[in-house]
Amino acid sequence: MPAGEEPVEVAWIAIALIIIFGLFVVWLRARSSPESSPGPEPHREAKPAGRRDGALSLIGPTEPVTIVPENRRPADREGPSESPGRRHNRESAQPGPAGAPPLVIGPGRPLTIGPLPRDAWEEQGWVRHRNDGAWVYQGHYRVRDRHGRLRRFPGRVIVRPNDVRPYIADPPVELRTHPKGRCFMLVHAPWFQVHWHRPARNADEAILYIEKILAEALNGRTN
Amino acid sequence: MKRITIAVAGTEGKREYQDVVILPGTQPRDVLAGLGLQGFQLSRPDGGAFDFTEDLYQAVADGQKVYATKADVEAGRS
Repeated sequence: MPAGEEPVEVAWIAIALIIIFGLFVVWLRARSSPESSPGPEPHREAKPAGRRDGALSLIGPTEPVTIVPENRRPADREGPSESPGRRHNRESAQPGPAGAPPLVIGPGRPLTIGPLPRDAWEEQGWVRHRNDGAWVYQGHYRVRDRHGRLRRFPGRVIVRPNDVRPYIADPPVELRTHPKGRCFMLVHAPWFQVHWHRPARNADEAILYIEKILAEALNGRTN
Repeated sequence: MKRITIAVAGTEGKREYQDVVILPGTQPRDVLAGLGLQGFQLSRPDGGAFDFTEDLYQAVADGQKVYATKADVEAGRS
């Protein structure tokens, strides 16, 4: 080999190495670029660029992508002045995009609260207190007369074991002509005590019975 | 069709029949027989007692509570 040809050969080898190195650098850059990464990337959203409303982008099979439907949050798209009821109706009536189930929001389950079971004395507004070993019930006997007026007469029932004593203050004069009128005996004006033939067993029975007698006296009939 | 509550007086609310549905023409005796309350009578919500053969349907409002009380209570001269 001639001595003048050796530098030329070295120069060619150097050029070849530079070209190879340059290609290697280009390949490395291409590999590190996100667009060309073949590996999985979780939680990427489909790009909406170039997409018409309601149409989805074409997604490659190797890329896991999370798709957020456009009807996911309808409240964001609607005006703030729209009432919830109207929004509910719209959501029920409009189907979502093809393949997506419609978002249906219904009213909550209503809570029903009714009155607790109560005795008649309590239901009619009477009160009860303890006095000298007895239960004392105080309130008003209430009766609607034939004219539709609600008549009220002060009442008191004293309940001891095996002893129920009802009292009434200022009973109506019509009671004088009732067959049971004689059973109402004045004990301390204006209070009358009702005496029993077959006694009531509790305050409820006494109150309801006396209201029955009063209704018969005021309305001119007996059962 | 009306829905009423029948409560037995003096039971401190322990004996109460809720959601009793009555149809037009129902009488107190029908309700008492249906609930097995022989020897009871129904009290009017505004005082007094129902006759056994009255038109209960006409006399009560929907959702009303009606008390049943023993019919053997009677005043007398002691």
